[in-house]
Amino acid sequence: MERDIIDIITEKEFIQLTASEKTEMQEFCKTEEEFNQMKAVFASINSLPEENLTPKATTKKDLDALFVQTYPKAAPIWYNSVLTVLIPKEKPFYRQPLLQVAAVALLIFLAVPLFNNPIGKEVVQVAENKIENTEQDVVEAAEESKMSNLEVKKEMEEEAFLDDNISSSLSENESFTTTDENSLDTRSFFNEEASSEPVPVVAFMDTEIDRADADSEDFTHPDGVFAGNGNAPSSTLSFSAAETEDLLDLLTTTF
Amino acid sequence: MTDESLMISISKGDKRAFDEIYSRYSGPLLGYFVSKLWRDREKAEDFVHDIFAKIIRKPELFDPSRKFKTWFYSVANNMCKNEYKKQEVRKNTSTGLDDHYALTDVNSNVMEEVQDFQFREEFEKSLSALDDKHKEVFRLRHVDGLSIKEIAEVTEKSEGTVKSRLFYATKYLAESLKEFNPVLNR
Repeated sequence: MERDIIDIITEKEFIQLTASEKTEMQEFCKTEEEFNQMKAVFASINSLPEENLTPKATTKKDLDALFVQTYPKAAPIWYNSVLTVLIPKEKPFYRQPLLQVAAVALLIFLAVPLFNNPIGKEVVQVAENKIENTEQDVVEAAEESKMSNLEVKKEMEEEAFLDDNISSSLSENESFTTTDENSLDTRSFFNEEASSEPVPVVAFMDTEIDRADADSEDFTHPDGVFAGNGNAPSSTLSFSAAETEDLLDLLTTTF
Repeated sequence: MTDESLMISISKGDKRAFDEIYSRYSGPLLGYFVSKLWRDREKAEDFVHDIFAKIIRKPELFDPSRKFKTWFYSVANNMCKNEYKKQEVRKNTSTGLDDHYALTDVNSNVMEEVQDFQFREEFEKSLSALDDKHKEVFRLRHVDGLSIKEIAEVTEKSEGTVKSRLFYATKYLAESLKEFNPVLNR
């Protein structure tokens, strides 16, 4: 409420009045006594207990019924407030929060599959792996080929060395001695077998191997196990006795 | 929440806004109507119902650029004026029995309710002894709390006229209540 002359009378004493206020007051109360009389009336009115008049309950009921009748489709208040926030009428449609939220949701909906595409991921991974694999493969293949060449060479050299040794020793000492009574005449056997299919036969050769040869690093049969035809290196079987326990036992009993 | 924003909510069908406005103004308006309508409580109740029904049916009548309180009392004042006109017509066509005498009896009953407050009784008597135009201005200023400017708007009179009526009423009451002189005797 705006402050007016009544407020001035209520709040101020006569001596506190400004010149302009006194001029304004002059029209209604000329003396200090009249001023104080008015002041007393206003104060006594203000000190009166409030007249608490309340309309009847039926009046409010009738008005409530009228309200429901006038606004039958009025949504619940919470719903109204939500709509007011989401679709404010005073804003243009493109600035309404509901439309903005919907637009953001649509963007997310469209953008998420792009990041979650499994095909795209696989393509990227395959390409990367392929590069790594091919590089590795090339390196490994090169290493393997080097190794295999060396091994082949080594094996060929070993074989050649053994063949030479065996053939030379066989030519010097033609006699075969068996360690068993039932042992076969291996020489005749190998001669027979040379013309037929190669059958893996294990035999013991009691040859006098040159001690110098046996001590050499390239000598692969330190225990003297030998199988096959000395004259035909291709059909000759030989291996270390240590590899087979049975043979090792036999050798142990033999020697 | 201001009265003006509550009125906007009412126009959108917000029941809670209506309840709030009703709780703020139903009591003061009933008092206003009671004092303006010859202390006829029943009639005042009807008027309270009618003025709030207007708000429900035609909330767009309220101009949001105006202060709600001033607008609301203006509507109430116009309703009373229309009632005066009706009463005037009825008086002219009646059998000679003055209805206001009957209402004066109601007035005395109301005064009995506040007889414990002797000063108040005397004050009410003095106030009711005033003519309507002075009584109305005095009540709007001191009971309903409107400023002189707002009273001028409600009553459609100039501020000078309102001031003049207000001071006349105050002087009259001061003279009538001189024997109590409550403040000065404290």
